[in-house]
Amino acid sequence: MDGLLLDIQHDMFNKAKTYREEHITKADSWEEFEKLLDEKGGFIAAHWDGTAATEEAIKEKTKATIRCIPLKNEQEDGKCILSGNPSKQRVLFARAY
Amino acid sequence: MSKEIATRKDDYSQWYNDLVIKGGLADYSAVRGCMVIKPYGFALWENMQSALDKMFKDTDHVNAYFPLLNPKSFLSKEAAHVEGFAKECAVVTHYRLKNDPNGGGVIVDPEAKLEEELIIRPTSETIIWNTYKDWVQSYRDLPLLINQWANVVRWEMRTRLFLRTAEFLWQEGHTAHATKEEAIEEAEKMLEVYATFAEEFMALPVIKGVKTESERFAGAENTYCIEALMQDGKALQAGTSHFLGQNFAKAFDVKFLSKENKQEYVWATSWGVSTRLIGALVMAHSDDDGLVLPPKIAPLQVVIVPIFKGDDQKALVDGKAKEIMAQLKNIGVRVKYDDNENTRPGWKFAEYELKGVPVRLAIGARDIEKM
Repeated sequence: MDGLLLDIQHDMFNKAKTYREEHITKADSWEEFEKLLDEKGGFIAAHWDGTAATEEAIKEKTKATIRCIPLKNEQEDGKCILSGNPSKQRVLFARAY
Repeated sequence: MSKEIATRKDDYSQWYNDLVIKGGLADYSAVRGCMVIKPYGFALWENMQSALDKMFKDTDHVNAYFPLLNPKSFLSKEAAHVEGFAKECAVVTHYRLKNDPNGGGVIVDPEAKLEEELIIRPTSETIIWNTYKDWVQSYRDLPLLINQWANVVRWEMRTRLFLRTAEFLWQEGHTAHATKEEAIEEAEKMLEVYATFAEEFMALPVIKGVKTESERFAGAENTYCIEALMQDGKALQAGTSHFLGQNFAKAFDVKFLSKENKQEYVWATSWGVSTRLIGALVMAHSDDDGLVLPPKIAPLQVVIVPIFKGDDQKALVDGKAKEIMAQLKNIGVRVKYDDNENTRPGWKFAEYELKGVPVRLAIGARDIEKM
């Protein structure tokens, strides 16, 4: 029984993790970003220019917030999906509870 | 089915409410925004609490308790903190009721007005840092690694069972350190504890990260968080750990004499998770048939349902079921034998499926003959 309960526990974690992994998507343009939010949901990894003004504008337009800047985030040059200004890393956006 | 629940596809929000209420976790109360946590939901919370509490103690923290009512003036000592919480504070202004002279029941006694109004804690940084001022004099008094299990009130206009309620239960850790590096290390360590708890006990995968400046805790220099994903594609913040810098030490004048014999302000962290986690648990794992609870924290891990016809079979099945129950209890499994004869086995199975009991075991006379 101990083994069965542990199996159930692991299966639950793996199922949730698979779902989570399938729902972290990169967006490289504003159109893509909005489309992903409305059609797929989940976390969207996108470039942000680092300003509170852009963050607020994105929230106003889409109700999506920056959930976090992941620890050990990969550094990568890119352009902010809204302002087009340079960015050094992607952050995770999502609509949230 | 014993009880109808909405499906995720048709109405996700109704599905969630159905599971919480019909699954017996919690219900609305007479007070808007405040919920009743029912025995089954509370048993789940207790299992989460005891796992977390052990993890806190394993990392050298101790529990204490601070007052529910905090002087209003304390809140305004840290500028960002008051700004963040003022709009959702419940305020106590009087300490007595009296009979209404016009016969309308009881009214607030206007003569019993408090000299200084008290707020019901929305979080406890202020009262705790006011207390730490008396506890910390020298570097020998540090670190202080304290946790409190408590209820807090944040007046919410739009509430939702477990996820957003005016009153909720949580734990809040408040630590004090001699150096910045040590405080940051503590905040990061507790984020790890939360992530481990979420993944190992709740079977909930989380992403560890830091909040942007505008999403930070009011009064923090850095907010670390774990973020989880629900089945409708929405994210949920499952726990936060804050590096508070010297903000609260400065607001409450908490200084210590360093090894170098200098007066310095103390460095702080705070970290918390709440009954909101139960909402996350429900939304992350459950399905259209009911709750799906991870065995490590499920109030019941196994339920045994007897199936029999007539007294002979009943005696046989009953004996075997009790034997199995005793064996399972012996190895520490949380098990229930449901021999209630007023409900049929089919009803019981639907009910325990709705309640998310991980293993539902039927024992019939034929099963025993085959053993």
